[in-house]
Amino acid sequence: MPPTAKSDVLLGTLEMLILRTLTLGSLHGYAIAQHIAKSSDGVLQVEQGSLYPALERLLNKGWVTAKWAESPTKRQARYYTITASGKKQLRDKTSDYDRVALAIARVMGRV
Amino acid sequence: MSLLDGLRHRLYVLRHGEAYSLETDRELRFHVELTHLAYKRDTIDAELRARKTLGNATYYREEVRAMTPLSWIDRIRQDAGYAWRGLLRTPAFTLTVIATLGLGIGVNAAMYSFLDRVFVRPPAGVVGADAVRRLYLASPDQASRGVPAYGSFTYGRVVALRERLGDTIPVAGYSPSGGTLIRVGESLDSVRQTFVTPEYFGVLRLQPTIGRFFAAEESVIADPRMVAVISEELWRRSFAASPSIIGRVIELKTRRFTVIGVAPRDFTGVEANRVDIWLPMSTFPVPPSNGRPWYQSGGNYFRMIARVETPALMTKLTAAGTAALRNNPLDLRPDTTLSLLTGPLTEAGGPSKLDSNVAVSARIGAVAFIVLLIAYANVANMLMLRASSRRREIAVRRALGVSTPRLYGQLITESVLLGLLSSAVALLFAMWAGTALRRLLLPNVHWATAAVDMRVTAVTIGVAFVIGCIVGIFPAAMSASVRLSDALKLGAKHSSGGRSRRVQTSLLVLQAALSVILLVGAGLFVRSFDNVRSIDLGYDPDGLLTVTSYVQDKSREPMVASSFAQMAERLRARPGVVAAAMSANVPMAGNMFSWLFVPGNDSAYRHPSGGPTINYVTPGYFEATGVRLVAGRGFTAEDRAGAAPVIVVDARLASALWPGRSALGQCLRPGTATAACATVVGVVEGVQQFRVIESTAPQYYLPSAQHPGVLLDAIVVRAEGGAVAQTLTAMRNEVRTILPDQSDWAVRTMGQILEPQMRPWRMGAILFAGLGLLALVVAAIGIYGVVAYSMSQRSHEMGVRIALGAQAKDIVDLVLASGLRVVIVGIVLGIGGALLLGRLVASQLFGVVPNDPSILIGAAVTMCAIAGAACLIPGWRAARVDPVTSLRSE
Repeated sequence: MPPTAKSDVLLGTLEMLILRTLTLGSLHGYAIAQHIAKSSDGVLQVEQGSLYPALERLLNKGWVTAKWAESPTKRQARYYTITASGKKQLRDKTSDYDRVALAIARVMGRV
Repeated sequence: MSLLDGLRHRLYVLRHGEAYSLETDRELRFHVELTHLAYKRDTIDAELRARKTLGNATYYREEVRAMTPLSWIDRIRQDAGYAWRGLLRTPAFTLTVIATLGLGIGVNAAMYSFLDRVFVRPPAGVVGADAVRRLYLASPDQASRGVPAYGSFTYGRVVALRERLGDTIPVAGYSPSGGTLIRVGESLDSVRQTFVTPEYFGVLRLQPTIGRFFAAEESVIADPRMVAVISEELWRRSFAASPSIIGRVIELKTRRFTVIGVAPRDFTGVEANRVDIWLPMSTFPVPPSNGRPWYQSGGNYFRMIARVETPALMTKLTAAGTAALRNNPLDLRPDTTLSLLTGPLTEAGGPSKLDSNVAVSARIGAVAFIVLLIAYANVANMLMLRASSRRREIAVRRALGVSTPRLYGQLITESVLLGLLSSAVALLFAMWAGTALRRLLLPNVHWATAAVDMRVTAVTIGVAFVIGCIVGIFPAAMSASVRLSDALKLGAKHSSGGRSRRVQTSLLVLQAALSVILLVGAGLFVRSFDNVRSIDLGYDPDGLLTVTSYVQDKSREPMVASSFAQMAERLRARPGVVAAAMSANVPMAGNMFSWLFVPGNDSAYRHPSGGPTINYVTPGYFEATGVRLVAGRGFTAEDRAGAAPVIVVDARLASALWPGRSALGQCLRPGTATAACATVVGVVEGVQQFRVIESTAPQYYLPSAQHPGVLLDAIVVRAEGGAVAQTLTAMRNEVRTILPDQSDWAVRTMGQILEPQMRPWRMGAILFAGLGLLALVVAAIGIYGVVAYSMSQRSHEMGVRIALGAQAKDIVDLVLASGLRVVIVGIVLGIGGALLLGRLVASQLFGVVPNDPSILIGAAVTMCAIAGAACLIPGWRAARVDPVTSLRSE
């Protein structure tokens, strides 16, 4: 069986990354994955198997909306847009993340 | 609103499930294609590499779908489909389970619908039923006669309570509903009417659908207004719900009433007996008795209700009510020991003595539950057998990666599906049994609603669902704990491990024990009924036909007496009629007490057990009733007015007055101490006059010809067996010409008169025997299933035994022994249980004790025989195993 269990932190983090990426504008799934990979210098590779379930979760929570639109290559693609409550959620998650990141850095003696 | 965004998305997915799947597909394809483009440098099987890197697209698609609410609907649909196909593959198993569980639940649904109606649920449509209290009277005198409280009031008492309490506590009186006829256009319709005081609807806090209810001035005795309120149901049924009903005149028998209102929907009175029409109490149609109109007579025609909102008012109600009753100038028979009690609106919950039929039903409720337990044990057993026969299949599924929750889900879905299917059987059965139960237990109640309503349906389906869940858990746990390596080993057929085997055995023991308890119960109640039926009543009820007049109008009595005398004469001449006579009373249907003086004693004779009672009869009465003559003679035509006064006494009176001596020729003075001396000319067998089971009061008989002032308004006829039906018809036709109003008379066989008394006994016997039989059948199915299954598992062993020389008989014996060993443990436990529980029903039995050895042994033997029969079939099958085949198959 392929591994499906991911800790809450990881799930939450991926959602945060997606929301952050979507603040740049409406993007389709592939573009989201590409952006995350590029801006992390290829460290964070988001697989389809994580990306689309995460997007579905965000849709269910009402943090993003989706719409079919034409891509620059003249193909139909599903574009995701962040909603107001998604932005609020992103702010909350970012500040949580900052706190946790700072805490970890302290524990590791890096600050 | 982003919350709405989320909801909208979910709704969209739910409504366009298939389309959404396609969308997801399309999106993923798009992703794969873009990835494909990115890898374009490696054009050789780029897509394959893309797939390799990105993994299995189908799997991701499933993952996405698993995130949507579709997933669990999918899962349930899948599981249900899987379970359904599985059940269709084994129709015999499925039908047995559905029938067993359906009957078990159905019996209980029927009992529930009855008990709920009688004990728990207030009558339909009453507003705030909790605050409505039913009023009762109690007195030490009545209590000493076994009547703790009674709920009927004279009009004088209704008025006294209304006047004393009415300003703070609303109280109302009403008459129990009775049948009448309404004329609508050309057609006559039978409806039920009640007569109420004007406070009635206020006490119940009802609002009319249209029109209004009674005003106080409409129920003045001196000035009765002919107005009526009709039920919403009657309004719709007979008047097409037309608003023009208000002001319309309706005809009830010969009286005309103006409709002023329609009662609220569903309201059909405050008793189980339905009411269609409410009339002011001032129009109460009972004729005067003993020269007094109904509102001054001692007739307890009415019942009372009150609305009591607080405990303080409750105290006030009982205190002030009691005072009003004890000091009531309107009371014909003032009683300073009376006190007022209250009870809930549902009569069975009140302080008065429980109707014996209702008491029976409560007991039967417990019995029905036992049947459900047996059915449950049975179904649990069969599901476990099924689970163990599917071990291999389940092991394969688990090997393929089914998760434990999913496996539980599938197995429990199956048992829930079985539960729901059986709830359909249960509802059908409950509709039939519930109606039958009502007719059986309370035949005189005209119910307003069907036995199975929405509430019963909901409860039944709910119970079936829960039972489905519970019954599936153990087999599911058993399957989930299967060790793959063991189960998949070829030839590992001896499946059920020690634990599940033990559970199966205990379930069988439980079934056998409960069945034995029910069988003992059935035996006890059937024996009681038999004993009651064989009580010597002193007369012969078979072929005894009676006519009774209910005319209370003094002016019509002479007409009734002379017409009845002529009718008796004509009946006597009919072929098939052995004897016909007239009397003042018919046994079990009315009696008179009278003074009797023994010469030499100034005070009237009283027998310690009450009485003596008196009956005035014409010659032929003893022949017609079958009262046996012990000594002397009965009355003849010679015992006419002017001839020497004669008297016939029964054996009880004779032995009490003249112990050890002959009563014949003795002198008695009936009525007064100065009456002429009547010579005892005959002694007859004592007769049960009031109840089938009683210590009967002595009775004496006087020839009516010598007492011309006495009204003879009953006829007794003895008909030959073959002539009973036609004689009854002839009697009805004759009476109809004398008394056209059907409510003035009754033509009944003695059996019909005895019926209300025999009924509880018969009910106990029928219901217990029926449920006992049901339990026996269910238990037999269970034993057969378990034994047959374990034999099929042991066919290898049987093959070896036969190969080694075992005879067919040895094999059958082996199977019988293995089955019976379990059953006998159950029987022993069951007998123990029956002895313990017997004490609870001891007071309901007649002429038999709960630990009657013949009944205990009979139940044990029956259970053994049925279990043996259930084991024989698998036994024979095992004995016919072909050793070659069975050994090769391993």
